[in-house]
Amino acid sequence: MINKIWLALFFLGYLVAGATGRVEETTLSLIHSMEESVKFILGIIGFLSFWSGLLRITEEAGITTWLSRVLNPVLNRLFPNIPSDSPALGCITLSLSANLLGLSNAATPLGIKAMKELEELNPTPGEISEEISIYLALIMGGISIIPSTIIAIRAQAGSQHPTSIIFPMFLASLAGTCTSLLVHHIIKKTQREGKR
Amino acid sequence: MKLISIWAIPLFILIVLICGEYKGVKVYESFIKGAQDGMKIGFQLFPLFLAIFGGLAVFNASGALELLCRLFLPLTNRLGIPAEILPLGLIKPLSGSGAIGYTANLVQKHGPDSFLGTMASIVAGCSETTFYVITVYLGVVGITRPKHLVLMGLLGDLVSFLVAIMISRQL
Repeated sequence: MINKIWLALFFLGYLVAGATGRVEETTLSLIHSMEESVKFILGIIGFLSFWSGLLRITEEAGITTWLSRVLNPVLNRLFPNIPSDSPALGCITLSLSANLLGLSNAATPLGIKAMKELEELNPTPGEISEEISIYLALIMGGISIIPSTIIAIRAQAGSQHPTSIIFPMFLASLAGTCTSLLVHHIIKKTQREGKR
Repeated sequence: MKLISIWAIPLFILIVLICGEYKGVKVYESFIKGAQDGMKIGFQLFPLFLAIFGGLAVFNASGALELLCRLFLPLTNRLGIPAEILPLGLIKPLSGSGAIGYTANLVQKHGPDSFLGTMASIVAGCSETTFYVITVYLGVVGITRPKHLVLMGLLGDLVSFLVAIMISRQL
């Protein structure tokens, strides 16, 4: 799927560029994007490393397992197949908390950690497990109580109520997350019936 | 609210360091070990960003993205979605930074508390960047077939987009 989408971006892009005579600008923009991605990775690698360093301490101090014990009841219901003392649950909790606090830069390294733990529990490595599907439904839903970037943009533009968007945003994200979870359950059901 | 967002990161750092010290962890040494892992993850991620940024650059600069938006125009008119908001809904699943940039532009142009400015902020803030999550999260564990995840993410995006527009009309 991702292969076809990526191909389509280039194919359709250059098709349109050819038709509108913007081939040269498009190529310039492509070359520029290579530089941009280097800048981007350099920009986040510091944050990524710092956060991974902190996480290592969290792990060695046993904070991750402690946190997962607190949130166990909720997560157990969502992930019935993961044993409740597994470090995977702690990582999932941490990454969801980072998302909730709008620490989107911190959320990625935490999420990557959670994915690695989930892949170790995966009964079919290299394929999407049920747990990975549920976890990514929650991540893609992106429920947030402090959308820090948007608030910063609004405050900078001189808003009188930069935080007024928090609750509507929360409701919209919640609706999206529920939809994704619903899609997960419908697909799971049809797959099971297909196997019979 | 402002206080919470200002203190979220410092509190996290302090709690982790103090708990680590209390539990007898050598905080500095284990930080260094963890940061080395972080570097490795960063280098692993670079090709992913290179691929996505490149593809999007071509799609955007060629005018294909604009064309795509124009194709959807009859539909959006019927649903009552402002023409300025639709590109945001289309960019959002593909590129988080693109959506943020587009929103910043719109907020500057129309004012953050205007109808369009508020709506754009709400749309941009809800839900994560679907294709970013799929590429990075699956890529890092070596899963190459996203199967139903694309459908799942995009339907979630669609619903949160429509709900965001509905709610901001009520404000």
